[in-house]
Amino acid sequence: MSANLRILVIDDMAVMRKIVVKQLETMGYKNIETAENGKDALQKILDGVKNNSPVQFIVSDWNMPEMSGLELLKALRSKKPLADIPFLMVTAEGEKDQIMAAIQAGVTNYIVKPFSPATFKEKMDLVLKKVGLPPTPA
Amino acid sequence: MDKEIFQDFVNESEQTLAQAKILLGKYVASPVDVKVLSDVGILVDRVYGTAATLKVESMSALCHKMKAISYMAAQVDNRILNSIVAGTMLSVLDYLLDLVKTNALLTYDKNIHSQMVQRLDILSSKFSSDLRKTVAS
Ligand SMILES: [Mg+2]
Repeated sequence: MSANLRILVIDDMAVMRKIVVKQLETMGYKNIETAENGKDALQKILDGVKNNSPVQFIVSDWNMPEMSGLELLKALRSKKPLADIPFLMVTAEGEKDQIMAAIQAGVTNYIVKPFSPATFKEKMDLVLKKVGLPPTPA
Repeated sequence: MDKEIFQDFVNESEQTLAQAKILLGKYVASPVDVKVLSDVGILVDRVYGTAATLKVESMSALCHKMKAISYMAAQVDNRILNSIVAGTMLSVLDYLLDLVKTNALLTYDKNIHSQMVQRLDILSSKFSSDLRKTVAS
């Protein structure tokens, strides 16, 4: 079951999406979708609810055109059926103000770029544990 | 490093930095809209994050500094300073695009690179320390 966790990876750089997806595949995940900004992601999240294949985990970049990671987080946390989706925010640097804003908006956890595959896996497991989901499969 | 990922990174960085150059050119031609500068910030930040993840230091160090400078410049709207910002960033972007075109991202000349770093550091120091704190530069 945990390998089928539906994960949405959001980043405005295509190669960064590819890197994150590859790392998730190495952790054993098989059900991964991508979006290139918050707006695109929100549409995919809403479509998922409609099509009965809801997004169950979000890994999102912060800085993106159209709609940032923080704006997406705020939009989700205010919508009842979407408010509980675990949200791992990827920020470019450990800026205290940014991180505080994300925590206030209800981020589940955050990771600072650049990160190693091992750190990413650790963060994934922390978030999964916090929300009561099984750990990364591989 | 994964060869396919590296080649994707090279291609996408080239496109993204070329886009940043176009925006800066627009700003130089008509320095009225400072939002253009924060759009440049988004573009160089995009390259920075991936360059840092892939440990392409020639690219990550300079993009990181340009990101901070463009966000600061977008906040102050000082035309004289911002025209120097645009000019300096255009030459750093040319340098980076040249590294891409000559396949020298991993074998770059350390001296030229540190001159570029210095130019951006001097530029960054022209902004107030309060402003520098907001972008963690
Ligand atoms: Mg980004």
